[in-house]
Amino acid sequence: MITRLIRAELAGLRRSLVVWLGMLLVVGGSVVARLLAWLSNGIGRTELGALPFMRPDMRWSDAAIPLALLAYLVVASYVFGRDFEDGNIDLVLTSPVSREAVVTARMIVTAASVLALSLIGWAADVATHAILASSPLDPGPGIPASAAIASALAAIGTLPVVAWAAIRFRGVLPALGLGIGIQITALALGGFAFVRFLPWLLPSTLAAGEGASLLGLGLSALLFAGGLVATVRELRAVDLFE
Amino acid sequence: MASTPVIEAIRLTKAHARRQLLDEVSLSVARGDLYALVGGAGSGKTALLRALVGLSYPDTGSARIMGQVPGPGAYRVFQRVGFLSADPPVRRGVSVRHDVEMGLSLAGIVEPGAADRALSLLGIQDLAEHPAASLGDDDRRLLGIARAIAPSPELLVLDEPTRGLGGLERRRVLDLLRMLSVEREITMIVATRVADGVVESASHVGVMRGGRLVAEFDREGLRERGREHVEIVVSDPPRAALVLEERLGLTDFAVCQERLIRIYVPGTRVSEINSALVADGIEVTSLSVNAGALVELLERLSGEGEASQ
Repeated sequence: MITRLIRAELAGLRRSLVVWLGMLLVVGGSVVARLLAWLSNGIGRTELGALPFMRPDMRWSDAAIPLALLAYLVVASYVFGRDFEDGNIDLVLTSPVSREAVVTARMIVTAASVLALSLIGWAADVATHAILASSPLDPGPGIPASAAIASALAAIGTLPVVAWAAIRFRGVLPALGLGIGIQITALALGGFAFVRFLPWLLPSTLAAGEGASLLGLGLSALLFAGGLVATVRELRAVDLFE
Repeated sequence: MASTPVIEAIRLTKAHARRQLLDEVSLSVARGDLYALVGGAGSGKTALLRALVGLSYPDTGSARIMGQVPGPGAYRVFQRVGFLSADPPVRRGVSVRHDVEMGLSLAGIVEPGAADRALSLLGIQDLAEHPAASLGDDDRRLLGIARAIAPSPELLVLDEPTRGLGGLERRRVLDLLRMLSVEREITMIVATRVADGVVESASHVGVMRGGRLVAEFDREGLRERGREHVEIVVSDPPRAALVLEERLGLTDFAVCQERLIRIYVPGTRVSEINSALVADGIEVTSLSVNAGALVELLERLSGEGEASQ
């Protein structure tokens, strides 16, 4: 049953623009982030590097990960929220499949899409890094695939909240808005030591090659599990009276 | 022993934003019935069907579909139930055939040709390769019906299957519903407008207005109200009945309340009936021809006539 649901979900996702938007964000973000890291490293070695607004130590992950996270949020909110916008939720809820199976299948599709996007973004960075490595300026350290995957897995941990919001507020945009709001808040607070264990900060931390605390990993797992349970409950409670 | 109803609603009530969508609605649909639920816009038809299939939760009352309480726990009933919503959705990114096949696949049905057969019954087999999302409203409705009937369900819950359809398509859908009801004995509950033609094939009709089920008729009641007849009020009903039988050879009449006799004959025979009764010394105090007033009656009960004025 789950397999059939996944196939149906993939059919819906495959021909949508969301896939291309996600690819644009991860590939474009990855390339631009590497170029920025390369330029900032180069400028950092000149007199301009002393200017107060310059960041000579800019890392690839500083620019690439927020854009990748945006791509993941777009995919998750689309997978869970589109049925409310095009009216297909009637089809979903009058199919002989349990709502737990629907949420599970959609989360699997979302997670697989996020992993695929992260690997595509990583591949784009490897290619850009290889090209820039032949230049006189330093493109900065390359990112191992394991870091990209670890970062994507950490991002997946936060997505059930978006899934819940898509069902709760019945659409893609409210979920996307909530996801971006939380992410921006987390990134803004990221400088404070006491919030470093927030699950929303883990993807950046792991992509930068920094280790994650046990507390951070535990909270991320808890958020994922709790988010899934809340999403299932929300889907079970959907009341479409007209 | 009476069989268990396929669908049952007991005093369903549902309110939203100070509007009473359902007000103590009770009904029962037995196996093999074609139950037409008629009413105008906002009468509560859709809210009732949605509560019956578990898309909505009533505030009070209870419902059963195929013996189960509708809702998330009863998802397996949809292996035996086909549902058409009032605004039928389509799956994006797939062809019309694939849309129907996906529904079959989710129901665990792997039957080559089942999707094409359903599309043919609706006359949209030529659209099989078209993107489902590109269909117009009429074809979406036909696709929705094809999706509902493709798994050969035991029960069909259809919300306005003929709404907005042109003459040919409407006729095709009505013929299909009649065929499914009579030949395949599929139980149906169909929300519809009075004038949409489903009532003519129905075994039962429920009339909804303002969230209430204001009247119900079985086949016998429908037959009585649907046929042209002459109504007379006479001084002596037993003697009048004798005259009708012996002098005029009429047998299809009913002596109703208060000296009223309803005679199922064409209106053209009214003067013949009057003459025979008067010649026998029976006083005829009232005489009227009722030309098959079923539609008018249902429209009056449901308030549809008022809504369109």
